Amino acid sequence: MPDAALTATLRGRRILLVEDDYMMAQDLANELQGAGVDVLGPVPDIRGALALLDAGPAPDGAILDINLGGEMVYPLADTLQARDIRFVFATGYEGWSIPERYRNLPRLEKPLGLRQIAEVLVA
Amino acid sequence: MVPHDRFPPPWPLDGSEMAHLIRAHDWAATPLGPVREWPAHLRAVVDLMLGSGTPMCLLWGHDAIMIYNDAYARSIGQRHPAALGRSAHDAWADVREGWLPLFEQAWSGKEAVARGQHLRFVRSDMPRQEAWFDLTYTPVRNERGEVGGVLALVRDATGEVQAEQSRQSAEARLRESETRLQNVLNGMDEAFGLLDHDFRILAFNDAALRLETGTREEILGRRHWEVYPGSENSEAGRLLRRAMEERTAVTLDHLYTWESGPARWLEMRAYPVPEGLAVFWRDISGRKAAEAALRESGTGYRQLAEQFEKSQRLQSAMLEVVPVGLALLSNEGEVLLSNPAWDRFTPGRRMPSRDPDRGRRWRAWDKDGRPVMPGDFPGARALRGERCLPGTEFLYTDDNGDEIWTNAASVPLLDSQDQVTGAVSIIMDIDAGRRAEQILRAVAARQAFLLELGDALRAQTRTESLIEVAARLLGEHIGASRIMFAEIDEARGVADIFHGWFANGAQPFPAVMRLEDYEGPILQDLREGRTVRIDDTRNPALARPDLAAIAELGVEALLSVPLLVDGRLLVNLSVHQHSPRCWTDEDVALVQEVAERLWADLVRFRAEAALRDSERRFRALLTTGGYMVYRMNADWTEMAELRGNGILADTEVPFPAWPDRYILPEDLPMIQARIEEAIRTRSLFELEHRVRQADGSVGWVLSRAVPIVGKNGGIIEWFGAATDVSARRRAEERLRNAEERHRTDLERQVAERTAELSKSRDLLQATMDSSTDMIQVFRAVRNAQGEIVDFRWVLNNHTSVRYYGKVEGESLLERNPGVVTVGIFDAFKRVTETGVPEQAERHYVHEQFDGWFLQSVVKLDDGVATTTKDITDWKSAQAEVPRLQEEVAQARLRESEDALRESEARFRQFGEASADVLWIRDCESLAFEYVSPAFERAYGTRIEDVLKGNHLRRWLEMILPEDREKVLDVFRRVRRGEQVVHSFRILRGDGQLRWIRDTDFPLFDAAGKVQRIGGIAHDATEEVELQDRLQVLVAELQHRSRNLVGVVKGITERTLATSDTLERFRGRFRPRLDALARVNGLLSRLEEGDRITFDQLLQAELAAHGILDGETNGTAVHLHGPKGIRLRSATVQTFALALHELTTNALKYGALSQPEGKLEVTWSLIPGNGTERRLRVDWRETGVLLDLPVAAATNRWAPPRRQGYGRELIERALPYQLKAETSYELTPGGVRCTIIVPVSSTLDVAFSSQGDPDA
Repeated sequence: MPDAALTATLRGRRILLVEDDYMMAQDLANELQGAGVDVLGPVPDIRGALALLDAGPAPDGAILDINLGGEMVYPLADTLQARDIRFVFATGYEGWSIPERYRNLPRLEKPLGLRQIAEVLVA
Repeated sequence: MVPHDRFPPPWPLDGSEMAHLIRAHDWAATPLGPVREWPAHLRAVVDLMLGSGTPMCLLWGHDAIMIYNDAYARSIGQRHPAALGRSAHDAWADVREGWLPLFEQAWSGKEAVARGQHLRFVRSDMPRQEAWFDLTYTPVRNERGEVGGVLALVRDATGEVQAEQSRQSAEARLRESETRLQNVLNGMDEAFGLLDHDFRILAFNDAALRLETGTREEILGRRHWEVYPGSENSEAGRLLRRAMEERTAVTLDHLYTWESGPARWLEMRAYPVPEGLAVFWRDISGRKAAEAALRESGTGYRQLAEQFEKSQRLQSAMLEVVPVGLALLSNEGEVLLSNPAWDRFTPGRRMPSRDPDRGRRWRAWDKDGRPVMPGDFPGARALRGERCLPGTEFLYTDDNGDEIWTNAASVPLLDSQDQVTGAVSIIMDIDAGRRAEQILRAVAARQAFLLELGDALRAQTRTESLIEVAARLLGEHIGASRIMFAEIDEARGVADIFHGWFANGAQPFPAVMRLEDYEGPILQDLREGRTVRIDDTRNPALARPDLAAIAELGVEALLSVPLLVDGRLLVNLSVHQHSPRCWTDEDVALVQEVAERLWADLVRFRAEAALRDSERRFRALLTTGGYMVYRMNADWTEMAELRGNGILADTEVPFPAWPDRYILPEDLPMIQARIEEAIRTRSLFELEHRVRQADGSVGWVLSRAVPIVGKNGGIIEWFGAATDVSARRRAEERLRNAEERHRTDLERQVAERTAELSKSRDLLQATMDSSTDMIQVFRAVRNAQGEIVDFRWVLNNHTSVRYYGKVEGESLLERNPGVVTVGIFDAFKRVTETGVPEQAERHYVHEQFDGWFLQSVVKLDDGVATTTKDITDWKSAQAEVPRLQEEVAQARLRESEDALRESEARFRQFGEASADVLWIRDCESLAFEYVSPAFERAYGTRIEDVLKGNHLRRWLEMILPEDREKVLDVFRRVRRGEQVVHSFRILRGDGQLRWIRDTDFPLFDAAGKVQRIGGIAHDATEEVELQDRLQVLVAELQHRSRNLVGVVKGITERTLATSDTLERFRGRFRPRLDALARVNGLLSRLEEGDRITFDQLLQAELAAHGILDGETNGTAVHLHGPKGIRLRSATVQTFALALHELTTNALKYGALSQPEGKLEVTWSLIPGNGTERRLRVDWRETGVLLDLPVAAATNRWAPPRRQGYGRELIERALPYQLKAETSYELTPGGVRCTIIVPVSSTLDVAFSSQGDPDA
């Protein structure tokens, strides 16, 4: 699928964005909104993310930064898995620093591109 | 005696206790005599005394007889009442020196006084036994004015004395403590003064005195303001008054000028104390001067540089001890800094890729096996800006020529423009790991090869192909030029060479070699069973004829394994190489293994081939002999095969319904009974029964089958042969019929039937003759008593005649006396007498016979008819089959046992020598069958202790509980045939926690089943720890750099969004990047677990713009707050950017842009939620005339893009990212900004080994 068609699949999707760095969070949120995504968040921590999840309808997908100011995002990943919500890790880490059980989950390296997000969360 | 004397009134009249005692006392027995004779003045003194509450005692006469009052009695304790009427010289003899001088002085007429006389005695009313008294001894004179006695007044002064004593000791203690305090104060470097509430100086230590010209006495007691003229209205004075009034602690750095001339910078701290204020101050002029100098030098960084140096020293100390080689390389590849672990590999000061001499010692290969060029070494690549992690594996040759596996990694050092300024090189010694891996790989490769070999060999059906396949696999695997298999025939003096395998382009080789042409040590070694291993046959140092001879044949390196049978060299397997080759132990072991396997297969193969031959021959024999051959499964439920020889239908595939095909239903129960009997007794099945023949008719067979017994003693199958006895059966029947007819007709129609009979006999004879069995009819010969004494031949068939010739009418016993010995004669007699037919197998070795015979005997008339079948061949075949079976089984067993023994022995030898733990366990019980000695070192436990009782449990107990399940799971996988490398933790006997890395692999038995589990283990604690440390380090590095890239990207976008020209963009972007660089500089210099403090961060930012505490460009700058508040690493970057924005804003539009402006930054720690503490920073600008581009955006919820970057950082990014509370206000006087942010708690060591950096 060409890039444009692929990113078009994002339109109207509800995506939770969890990223502790304000600037990165804002940039990505802007970019997603530009592609017609209904951005849930961004939030910098697990607690905030859980509050958003409980407050409204379940999102279609989630983008999770792994290291949230020293807090690891994995418990949130477990929750999303339990609720059957697709998600992708966004990381500056190499694969091997991720615990075994999360190693095979979809993962994108920062900076993220819309195309990859669409591929993982929608396609 | 006068009458009134008889009834004198009782005296003394007083009602006190002592008066009573005095009245009752027997004074007549004392020198005083009876009371009535006492002089009046004595009585008067006693009366006086008794009436007094003061302790008094009258010592009467020079004997000092004691009379005393109640108060005295109480004060002398247990000496009362015995003292009454006694001489004080007796009663108080023990303290004579205390009172006797006083008594003597009073006796002489002069009052005597003593104070605080210390007496020690027991008093009934008090627990203590010590008392102090004031004593007054007064003379008592008689009527004549002479001293008649002494009155002692006693005052108990114990309370007073003790009070005085404790006062004195308290004073002494106070003096002591004061001295000590004074000593402490005087010993301090810091000046100290104690002020009372009126600011009078109560104390003043030596350090304080040193700053003054006067003495301590001149200073003490004066008011602070007098001693320090001008201080009262200074800032210092103001603060001291505030401290005194508000009872708070204050600190101040200030400059004070003494009257005597000197001006000093003082760092002052004052604390409220009950007396007033405790003030400490110290001269910090030196430091201030240094700071001023720094400020003048304009760098502002020297202090940071010093800190950097200090941290570098720490780092280099750390570098010394890490086991990893680390070096800092310059742009030119020179070593700027390195640790000993690095120098071990690179003693020169240049990195290997740029060191032509040492570079050759480093060899590495890419994944295609091509050598890596120096220009592609990690160091060289890093200097080109490439990150080489996790690095390249090098084989390094050290000074001894030993080769060591290392891992070299390198990362570039980039400056803020991303220019490479150098590189960090990391070299790790991974030799032990690599070698272990190599051994492992070799073991696995060998295992794989042997499996492949085993599979390939099993598929072969010819001896030649067996050798060819083994030779080809071995040759390809080992990279040989030729593989030869020679059979040595010492009798002929030759070796027959079987050309096993030739590599492409290999030279030809003779097919026969004359042994005498090659006599020498090689043949000798082979003959004695030793493997020959020659690396270079042309090695001049060896120069031997036998080597020269094989070198002629193109053998430049030789590995030859002999096989001896019964001590004789039978065959050898040789690996030839057309060029010299350094054989490894691994090569030798492998070739030996292949040779043994091949030999074992050959032996088995030959045995099997012999069996097949023999079976074939046997079948041929049986078939040509008219036999039908069949095989049944163990319980006869299925017929595997039947060759019917044209009589019965053939069965070629296993067939369960065989009875339907061959047996008449009515016979089946009887036959089955016999089969069951044979199975039960595991013995010969033998039965003559009817069968359905191929043409549909019914015939008779004599069927016999033997059980074939397998290795484990169970019956594998039955092998049977059957002969067609239909003809005989028919003959016998006819004979019986004929006989019957003959007998019934005999009497009636002898004459007329003679012809018919003879015709019938002819027919009989013909019938009998058609049988290949001997058929004979005998008639009994009886003596007079009717006993059978012999038999005579009546009839012989054709076969019989072949053996006997014409014997009709002759005596059996004469012709064949052997029949008696063998029991035939008795059998004939029994059958003749009883009429019960008999059948027997007899081994008859008499007269013209030598063989086995099956003989059936039936009664015929007064005699017997016999059918005798020669079963010699059958018997020998019957014996031969199990023997061959046994031979094959034995050969198989031997082969596997030998191979097992051999491989175990080799494994053990390897195990004894290995530094790794080698072990073998039984696959089922998991009990250890073998553990190498290295176990003890790795596990810190004696092997015997683990081999006691349940091995598995003892061993598991050493493993950490959370790792046990994983370890057991590995066993399950290995049982399924997998090879597994895994690590687990053990708690050693000595309490150490260690990592063990174990490679577990299955050991297969001959049938390819996992029979045992083998393993190689070693202590991998250092590896694991090192790996963990590196992982954390690299993760941290990567996280930081990616994070940084993200932040830079954010800054760029924000700066772009708010810049309308490139000029403006540049003007804003560079300073922001610089601020980021500064904070990253601070971060990178931190020791592990250390934190940047707020004052460092603020100072670095302000100093970068030339802003100093006190005054800048005419603007008052006041920074006030505690030092050392540690910030969370995660917060530092954003915080620094926020401070940067505040600062540049102040410089451009705010307090620092206007001379009237004033900037005050104050900070303090305030409590947060629970134990959390937070930092509050107040940034106050005052005196600013507002210019309004800044003031325009006051709505904090305005969309971020339209806001200034600084405000966005403070109002949005800080709360979002750092959970900060912020406010940013533009008041008429200038910016007021407050930031409250959580800080690092001292327990918060976030950069832990768990890889959870909060950076």
